Amino acid sequence: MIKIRFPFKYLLVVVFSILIFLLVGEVLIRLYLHSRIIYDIEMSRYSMAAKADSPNSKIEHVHKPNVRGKFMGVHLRTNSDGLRDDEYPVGKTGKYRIIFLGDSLTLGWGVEEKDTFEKILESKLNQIRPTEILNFGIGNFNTEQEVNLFLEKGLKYEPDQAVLFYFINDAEPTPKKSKLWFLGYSQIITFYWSRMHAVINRFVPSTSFGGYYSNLYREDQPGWTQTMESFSALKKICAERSIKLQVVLLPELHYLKEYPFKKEYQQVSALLAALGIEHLDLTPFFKNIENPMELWVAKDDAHPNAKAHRLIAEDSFDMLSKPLQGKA
Amino acid sequence: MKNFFSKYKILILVMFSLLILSTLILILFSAGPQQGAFIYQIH
Repeated sequence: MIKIRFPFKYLLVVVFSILIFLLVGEVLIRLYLHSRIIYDIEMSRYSMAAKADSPNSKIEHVHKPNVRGKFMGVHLRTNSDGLRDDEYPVGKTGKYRIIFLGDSLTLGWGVEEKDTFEKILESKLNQIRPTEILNFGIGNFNTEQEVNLFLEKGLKYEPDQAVLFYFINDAEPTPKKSKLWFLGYSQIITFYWSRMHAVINRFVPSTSFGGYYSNLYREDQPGWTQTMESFSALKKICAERSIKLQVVLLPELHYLKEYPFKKEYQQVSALLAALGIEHLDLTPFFKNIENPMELWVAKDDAHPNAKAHRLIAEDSFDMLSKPLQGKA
Repeated sequence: MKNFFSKYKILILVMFSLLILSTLILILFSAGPQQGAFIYQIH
């Protein structure tokens, strides 16, 4: 029999204690989550349940088809093409067709489908002429992923108009799936990961959201180069197919009075203007909001809630409706 | 098994106390509105 040497016995006890602690924690947190919601755990659950790898490295992940679930307290379903939307036939249907490209904000994370700006705008635009809007929003997408999803899945729907909803983190490089992705099955590990990130973000200024987002827009950043190339490619493909292209810049909802990303959004606006893409920055429309948190999905989640979605729909309606009225 | 616990019970108790304490500290210092960017760990 092999005799275990002195220090290893203690090490084994330490490892054993940690494993038991995590096991008990996993049970307790799952019980806790029956009545409460934690943003990071919900995002992790959404990734595990609703996302699938894409063979296209420029898309990286897509939605699984026909998902039915409840995330961040709201129902989320996908159709047979992985869109959070109704079923739509490919090709022309006789209705004016618009594709909305974007990330979790366009998807309507944390908001019931009927309250998303996509559904509100669809209803308003239908008063002008029969219109259908297809929601191509997928959580954690950047501009490169949005444009490539449009090329791969969007063109077959033969849209008359495409609107890309841009958010400050869309200049991130295309993410690669973590090698530790399977840890997402453990809610206690996700919880510790999320709390540690929150502590680091609070006490290390260089990791705060302001510094993180601003750094994305430096000329030497690969994500920004990708973004410029993607907008250029989108402009070209839309021009070739006579698809009206517009971009809406969505505000980051932490500080609205003194918006911290004015310079970055001016940089994006200048790029869009140089490419001849019609665009609208919504941040000035939000500057009179006294308490930005009233627009958040939850206090640990600054995604736009139903009220913010309604404002986005109201403020972008004029620009989006112009092509339907023959004004563009 | 009984011998194992009695032999290492002090170490096990210390470990559990440390783990509970560090969890409480983590929760305390991370409480409040979201401070960070939308960073996702899986995709």
